[in-house]
Amino acid sequence: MERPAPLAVLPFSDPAHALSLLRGLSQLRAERKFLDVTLEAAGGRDFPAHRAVLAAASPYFRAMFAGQLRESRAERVRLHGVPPDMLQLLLDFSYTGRVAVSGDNAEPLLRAADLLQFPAVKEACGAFLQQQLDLANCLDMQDFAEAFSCSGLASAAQRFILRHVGELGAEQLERLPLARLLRYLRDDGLCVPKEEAAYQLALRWVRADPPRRAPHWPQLLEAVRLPFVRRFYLLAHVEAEPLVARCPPCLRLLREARDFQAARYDRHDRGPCPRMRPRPSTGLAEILVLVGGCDQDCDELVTVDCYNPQTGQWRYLAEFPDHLGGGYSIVALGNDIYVTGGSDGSRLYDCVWRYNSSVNEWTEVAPMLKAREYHSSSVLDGLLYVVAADSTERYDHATDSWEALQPMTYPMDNCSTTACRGRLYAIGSLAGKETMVIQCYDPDTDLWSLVNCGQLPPWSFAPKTVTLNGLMYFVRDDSAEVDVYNPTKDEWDKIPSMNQVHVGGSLAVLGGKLYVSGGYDNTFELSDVVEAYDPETRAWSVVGRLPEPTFWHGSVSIFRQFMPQTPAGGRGFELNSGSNDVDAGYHRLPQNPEELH
Amino acid sequence: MVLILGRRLNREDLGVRDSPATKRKVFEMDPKSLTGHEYFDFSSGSSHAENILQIFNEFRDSRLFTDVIICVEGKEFPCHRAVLSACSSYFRAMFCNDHRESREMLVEINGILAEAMECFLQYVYTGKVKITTENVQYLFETSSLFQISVLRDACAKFLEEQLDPCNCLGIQRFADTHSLKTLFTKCKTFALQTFEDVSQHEEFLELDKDELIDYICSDELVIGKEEMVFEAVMRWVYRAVDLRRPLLHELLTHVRLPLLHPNYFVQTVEVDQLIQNSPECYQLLHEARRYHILGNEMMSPRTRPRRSTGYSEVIVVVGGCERVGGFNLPYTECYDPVTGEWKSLAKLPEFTKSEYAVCALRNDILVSGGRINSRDVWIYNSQLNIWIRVASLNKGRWRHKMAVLLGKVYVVGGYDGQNRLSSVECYDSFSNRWTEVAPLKEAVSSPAVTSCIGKLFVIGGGPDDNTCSDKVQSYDPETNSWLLRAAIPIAKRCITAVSLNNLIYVAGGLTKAVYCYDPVEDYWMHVQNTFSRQENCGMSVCNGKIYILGGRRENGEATDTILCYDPATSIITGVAAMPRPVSYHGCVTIHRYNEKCFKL
Repeated sequence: MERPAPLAVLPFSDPAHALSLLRGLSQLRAERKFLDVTLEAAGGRDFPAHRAVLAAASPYFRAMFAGQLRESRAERVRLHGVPPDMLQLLLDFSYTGRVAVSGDNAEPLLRAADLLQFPAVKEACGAFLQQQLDLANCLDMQDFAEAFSCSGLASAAQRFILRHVGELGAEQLERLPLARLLRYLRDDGLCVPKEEAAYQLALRWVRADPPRRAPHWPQLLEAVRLPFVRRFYLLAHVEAEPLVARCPPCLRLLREARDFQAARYDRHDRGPCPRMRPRPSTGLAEILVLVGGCDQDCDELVTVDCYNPQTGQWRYLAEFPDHLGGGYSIVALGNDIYVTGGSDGSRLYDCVWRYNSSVNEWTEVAPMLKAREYHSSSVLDGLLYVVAADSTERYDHATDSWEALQPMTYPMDNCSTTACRGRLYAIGSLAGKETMVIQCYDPDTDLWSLVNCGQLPPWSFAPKTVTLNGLMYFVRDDSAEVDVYNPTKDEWDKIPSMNQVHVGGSLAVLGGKLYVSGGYDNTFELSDVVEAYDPETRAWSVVGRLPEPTFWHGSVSIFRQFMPQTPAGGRGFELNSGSNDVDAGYHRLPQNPEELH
Repeated sequence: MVLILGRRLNREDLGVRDSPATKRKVFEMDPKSLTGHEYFDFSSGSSHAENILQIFNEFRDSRLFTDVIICVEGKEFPCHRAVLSACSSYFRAMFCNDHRESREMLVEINGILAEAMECFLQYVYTGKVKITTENVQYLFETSSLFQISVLRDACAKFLEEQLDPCNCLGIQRFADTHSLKTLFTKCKTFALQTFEDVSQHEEFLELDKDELIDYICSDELVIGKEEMVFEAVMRWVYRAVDLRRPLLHELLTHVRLPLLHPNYFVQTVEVDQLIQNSPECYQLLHEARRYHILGNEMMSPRTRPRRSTGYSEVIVVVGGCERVGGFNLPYTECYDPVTGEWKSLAKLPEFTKSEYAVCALRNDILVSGGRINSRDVWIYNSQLNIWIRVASLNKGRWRHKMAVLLGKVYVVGGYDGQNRLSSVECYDSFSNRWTEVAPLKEAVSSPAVTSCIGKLFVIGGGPDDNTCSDKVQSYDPETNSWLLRAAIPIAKRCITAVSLNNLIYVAGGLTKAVYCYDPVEDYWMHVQNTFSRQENCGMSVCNGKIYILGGRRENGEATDTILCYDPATSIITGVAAMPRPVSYHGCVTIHRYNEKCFKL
């Protein structure tokens, strides 16, 4: 048998050598051999050592001994600000790589390690102190960590404080500096059961020292997510608060919250705003709701499912109580969902159904002025608009009534509509012609006009459209391509294509992203893919799956209350007022409609 | 002079990063908020040590904090005394015993290479070094000098991996010089296992005589055939023939000349001029020739095959029975004492007989006679694993014995159902004939019979049903006559004998004693005891030792024990048991080729 040729080179590596050398050096120190420097600590205690070892262990000593100063050659060096027992520990660490951190020495040892630049020991002390975090010391611990640039300890303290903010003493909170309090209020992770608690936290801080802290009140209130404070509480406590009533910026925030709750604030059109994002600890979540559609066998569905992107979970909501049929339109108005019109194939519908998310219930409301199908619906300024070829009408949920409006100047069959920057836009082909145009409705003048937006993309059918951050996005039915129009600048653009085609799929906006779901894919298979587009990364990604492959379904986004995401052990914040819970829930911003075939 | 450091220093001159503590307000923590009993033993020993080591290497490259210069072959290596002392007892002793006050000292070290010193320091300051075929020897010597056993062992291990037929002898000598027992052993094992290759290389021809003998005398030598050893020895001698001619005889005593193929022996060995001109070698040639004629009858250390040739000495157990009047056993099995393995051979034909005689003729086995009054004779051919019937005895008998003397088979005494026999027949395998020769002086059955120093010896036996004989009868084939010799110490029958080194050993006869007889001195000795009394046991010489197998105990039951008696130490030990208890069986020793396995 032929032996393999032996290697001519052996790259020998002795993993135990470094430790062995260190042990040898430690023994030399114990035997006082080759010692060439004496460190003098406070109180006059002497610590003989090897210059080279100290220089190797710490950049501080390296600079001291390797430099051109007199200390580089001095046999005695006095160290100020370092207790002798801490210096002993650091020297022992230099020679062994080991140190015992305890409750008695963690803080002074961290100071000494920071001063003398022993980063490993400093991190070890930080890790130890991190284990000692509790309600009594967490605020001081964060100050200490930031003073000494201990990022691990500072992060751990921050997380601890956010999680246990409801358990901290009033005196501790009132002594917080402004920047610290702002940091807490702005953090999604602040663990409050209701946003009212965050408001109270800010208010109590200002009241602790009104003359000096009142000027900061607007800044603090801006960090509170007022839109999620209950309406009654806004009226009874926030608006009535003198600090708010006499403060114009605060009044603007209050009005913003009211508009949000009255569905007059279009959160998708306005662009990202942290105040419009609920904290997980309150249990509120923005969800994608799917209504109806057809399954693999082309059977019509009356199911209503919701998807929480934070958890990736699907849940059932109340089923649609009537026959949905086809050709209906769906839209989110505040925190409710409206389904209008449709047909059963022979008879057109004029009925309108409302889903009340706070009670998980479908209710029939006032019918449209005219029965219709394959119309489009959108919400603009808190009002529901229904647009069809021959007429336009508007619904006011406050009065539960419909109002006729001017029809489109140029009738369009099967148009798509979206609200953008205070106006309603309709996209479709002119009736009887193949020309694709965009018309615009101005609610102030009750007039339609043709949008002069240059050459439109080569759409074969009216694309699905939504508005996100002031831009109109168009998703084609027969292509994975997506077009973008900026009406302010009158500019067209393209974003990367979707991962697949979604023929008969559904389009919605959720959490600042586009969501496209279901429909037939490139191979004409019915798909259950849900993919999302993030404008910040300009990328599509598959984020989940529908409960079953579906097409011609409607999808919108609303806020809904779930169980709070509070870590175990956290105690609820006790409200000392606002016990009246007659308010049945929040009214949220409407979502753009989704046209169904 | 005490210098003041800390906040009063101009930090920029130090190049030290400003501590955050000097810039930010520090909140004093309440010590009570920490529980004193908590304890955290932080250990970054390994990574900390690696960091220290790496920085020390940077210091060395930058000549920072270096306080000694090691000078080797004129090349200077700046080092840290603390680092060298921490790693090496050699440097520790050097520096710690030095009393000079100089801060920078120059130390000259002789006897090593500068390249080896560089590699050594690379290891000291990084824990890593490249060991190559060029530097391993010098690096080994340097690390030995400086007492770094880890690095030295790594070099030895590297050499182990470099073992090759062309270098293993040189490395072995190196290992011997430096007392590397493990490496030495590995080299020797490697050389033994690759001897045919090794003996082709220059290193082999440069061995001294004792080193060469150490190899060729080994049973572990791996060769295809003994011819390889002979040729290697001759190559070695011819390399420096004038100096090495006087050593030829001693070397050839370790070559197993009797095992050479007869053709090779005649055509190559005997015609070699060096051998022909060495009268002292004639005795060895004579021994080989006699072996070719007489086979196993002629035993010496040179007739024992090396196991690597595929041959080994095995004991063959033929037939026998479980107890008196019990079942006769048909088995023929061989036992290899070295491996402890038993193998089945072709079954004994006509196994209905019992109390027959068995002997080995060269490498074959003869079985003759048997109860009642059988004249049949069979030969087992060991190459073919078959039994062949040959010429019948002139007189049928059982309880007789057989022995081989000078290439001929002798059948001695026995019983014909009515009388003890004094008849002695002689078988010539060349003519396939049995011939009557001079009868015994005393007719006996169940004697011990063996050949020694050219004569046939018949020991003890039973002249009649009620008595045992103590006579020792000796037959001289040259004069065809019998003589009486010194009597065995006690009269016995159902005994067995073998001869080894010109001595005869006797056992059995329901006694524990093992007796030894010197035919030259005509003298008996009691040399050892077995563990129990037995009779009709098998005896055979294998690998220079005497094996006693089975036999019948006083209670009539057969036994399966095997005893091994080493005449060199006079120690008797029990070894593995036989597959089954047996007595009245035959035991002989033959050479068997291991690669062939005959199963029934």
